[in-house]
Amino acid sequence: MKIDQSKLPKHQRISTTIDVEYKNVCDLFFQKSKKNPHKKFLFCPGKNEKSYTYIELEQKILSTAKYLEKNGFKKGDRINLVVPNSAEFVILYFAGLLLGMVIVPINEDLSPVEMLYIINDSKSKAVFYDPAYKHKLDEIEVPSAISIEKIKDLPSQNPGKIEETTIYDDAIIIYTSGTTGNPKGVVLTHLNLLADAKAVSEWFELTENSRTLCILPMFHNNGQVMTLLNPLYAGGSTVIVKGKASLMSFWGLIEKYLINWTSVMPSILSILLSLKKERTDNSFEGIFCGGQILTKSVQEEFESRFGVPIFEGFGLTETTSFACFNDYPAKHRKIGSIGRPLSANEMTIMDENDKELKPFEEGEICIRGLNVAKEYLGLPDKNMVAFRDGWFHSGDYGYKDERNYFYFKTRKDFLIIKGGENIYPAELENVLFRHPSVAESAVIGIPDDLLGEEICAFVALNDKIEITVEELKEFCKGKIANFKQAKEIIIIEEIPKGPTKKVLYRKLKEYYLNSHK
Amino acid sequence: MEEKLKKIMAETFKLDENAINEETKMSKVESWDSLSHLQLIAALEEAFGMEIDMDDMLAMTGYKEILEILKK
Repeated sequence: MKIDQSKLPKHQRISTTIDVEYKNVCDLFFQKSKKNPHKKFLFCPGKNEKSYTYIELEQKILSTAKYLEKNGFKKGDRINLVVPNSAEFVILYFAGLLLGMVIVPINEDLSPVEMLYIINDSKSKAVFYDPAYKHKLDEIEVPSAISIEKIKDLPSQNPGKIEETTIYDDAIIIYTSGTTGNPKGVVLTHLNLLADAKAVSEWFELTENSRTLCILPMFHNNGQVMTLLNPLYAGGSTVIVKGKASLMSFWGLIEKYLINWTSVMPSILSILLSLKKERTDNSFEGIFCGGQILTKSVQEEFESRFGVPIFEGFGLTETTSFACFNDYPAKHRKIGSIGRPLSANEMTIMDENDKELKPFEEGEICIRGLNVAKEYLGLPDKNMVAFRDGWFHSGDYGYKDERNYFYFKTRKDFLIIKGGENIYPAELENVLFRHPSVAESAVIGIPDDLLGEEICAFVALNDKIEITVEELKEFCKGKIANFKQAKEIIIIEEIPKGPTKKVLYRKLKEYYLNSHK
Repeated sequence: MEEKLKKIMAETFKLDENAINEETKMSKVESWDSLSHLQLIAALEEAFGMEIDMDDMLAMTGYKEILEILKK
């Protein structure tokens, strides 16, 4: 499919020509299925292990698309998925995309109130849910809730005439943390998904024999792109596991399913290093790694103990998944670098006046290309800032060298990245502020060996109202997802502020680090 | 065995031991995340002197399911 760059927003245009071979994401699946119908594509391990060939999954997708069509769903409709990693997630994903619908997955660990915000903001027509999470949806008013049990064991059937979906149409919306506390919906098109999957698949020379292990949640695009669409682009296969239960079984899964690649956050590498489980396979080729800073010591210790190369990269929800990667094969890597830009995008470093900087000058990492998101849903002001002058401004700081290898330094704002999950201070501050005894609060990220960062909240209390740290922790329960709760709450007299009354987060961080030396 | 399991789960997930029953599932316990699942498996292996195989680890998604696997 030739890409007409005039149809793209300025921040998606690049100077080189790259084409994607497919009309949309579902066309990618169907073309691969046509080529190798009886090849195994999807494995879902466990006691009731399930596996599907391309053609078996295609039939499930078509039957589910017919079910959706019969129930009034059509092109452009949005649906939420509160469904953990499973065959049902994959089937609903492709069935919805086949009809031109937009898939909006929701992290099942969010609180009901947080889920409701996403359901309302995305104006979704229905929420498809795994029965294990029904209790959360029962607490909120949703437009229409449909159990995934309804799409299991559907009779073999095909949808009617399908309205054409192009690469320029919206495919998915992924919600990511927002500075104000409310998450932002990142709108990704079929082109975004196809271009990123193609670029990564080609970077690592994946083939029809390549098999990935998906342990990251599929409600994030890392899981979707790196371990579903990426192997699919090469005609390979994937093994999908529910993340919560998978780490102890990691090496067993790699051996049993002859896995070649997986995608993780650095915190997962630290956890694997802490376990007394050794590698037993002969198939593993490498690990895609991003989402947090990968320290040299973790990389060296992991590679020396397990003998698997780690390929560090950089990307955000707004770049579909990765925008750059260290070189493949492993001997060509530049350790410590987040690598070079993929073929789908270009990268540069800019100063605060949006002027491009020279090698080794530190500034904001900016990206443009076919894998850069279309926009934030319904946030024109944020779009004007983030996607200005034909570049996506990432909010991450770094530099590049004379050979166009990029290096990550720090975040521009106070985003906390805990085990790969992005959390803005305002999310917890907004909850704490609702307690009558809290005058003000400020939340920071603190170092954590396993998760990269943990959460610490500083709280100043109103006069005359006494409350304990435990009572405050109890108050926050249920109002915000468990992974966003503070590990530590420190009560102080006053939150430090600058002359413009802005909270001095850096000062709080210094205070914390000095008192925990 | 039931009591021992309840004690381990209560300690791992910071729950009231008396509140643990057949309805206690990974999807309903906020503190049952990937890290605490690792701690649970390690504690079970130590307490029951056994090595839990990969499929069983993946299937241990609730009190009832764990109990069934331990009873095997």
